[in-house]
Amino acid sequence: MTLTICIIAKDGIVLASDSRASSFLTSNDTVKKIFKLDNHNAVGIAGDGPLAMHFFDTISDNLNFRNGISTLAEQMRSLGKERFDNFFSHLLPEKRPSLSILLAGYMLNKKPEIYTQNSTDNFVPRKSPTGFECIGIPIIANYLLNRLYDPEITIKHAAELATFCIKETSSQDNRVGGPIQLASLSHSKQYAEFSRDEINKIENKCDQFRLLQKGNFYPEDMTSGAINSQDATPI
Amino acid sequence: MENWKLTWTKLTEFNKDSIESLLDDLPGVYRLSYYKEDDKNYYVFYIGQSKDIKKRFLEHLSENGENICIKNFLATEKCFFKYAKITKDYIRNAAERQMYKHYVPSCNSIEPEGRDDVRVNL
Repeated sequence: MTLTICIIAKDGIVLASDSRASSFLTSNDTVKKIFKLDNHNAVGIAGDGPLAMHFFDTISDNLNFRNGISTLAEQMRSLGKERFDNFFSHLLPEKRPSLSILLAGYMLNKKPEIYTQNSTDNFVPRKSPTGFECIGIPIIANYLLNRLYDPEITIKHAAELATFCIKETSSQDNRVGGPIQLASLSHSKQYAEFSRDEINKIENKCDQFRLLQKGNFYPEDMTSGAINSQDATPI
Repeated sequence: MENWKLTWTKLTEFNKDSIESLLDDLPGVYRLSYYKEDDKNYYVFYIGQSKDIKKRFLEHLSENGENICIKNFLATEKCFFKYAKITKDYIRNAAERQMYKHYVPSCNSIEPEGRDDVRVNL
């Protein structure tokens, strides 16, 4: 399974994902889930990874990037429905593999937008009202982003926040895991993926964040304790 | 699973006099807490271990203390400590790790290494 996150920052857009593909018995931590569409548009995926890669390979030449992200989302809907109907005409809709897409980019007026699209819903585009979106296993990340996201966040800190969300989810759900992937883009800066070294530094920083002030629920007992301490003894 | 019984001291105010009264070369684990006036409770903000608790406490208290978070608590809150003597290294490590997981204190930045199959009373 997957967790892919997209966050709109005040100076650009960040995409982040884990890299785990898991089945009933096995898992693989090398799956790429974030892709460049062109210099200022990108997608993140969740679902059937190999299918997604082939799907984008076959439609990328037909995409027109000049009319903004909303037009791109509509092209994706049209091409997605057509391809899926073609690929899986032998299957009832509910039996077909599922593919979720996060589409991130810019409107013609330079406003950043995120769209979510899902194969089970004929790829109908849904524009994010919040400034962030999560697909795959989103519950923990949505909770954290609802608490911590503010549109004033910068790309640098949005990358940290997305990484934190993935690490927290990974700590609670083993369907999310493996090396984290990060990329950013903006209206003026081209799509760029973070290096492994940059991601390691962000992950190390996230390890020091405190989500829970657990000690607030366990105050010291003022009444107990000795004047002097004896050495520890086995029980 | 190994179980060890620690003798924890009473909560004692963290100041130069109380620290000076500790024995030298006293190995063990400790907790630092602050008094919250609102609800009259003592909340742990740091856990640690040392082969010489007195020396470590004096380091926390000194101008050169490296942990800014501890310095802030000591400068702005009424702070307390309690400790338990442990001479064996692996028991100290395990106890420190267990305390970290129990309190997740705001001034500890790294999860300590230690055995999870050694348990102590906190």
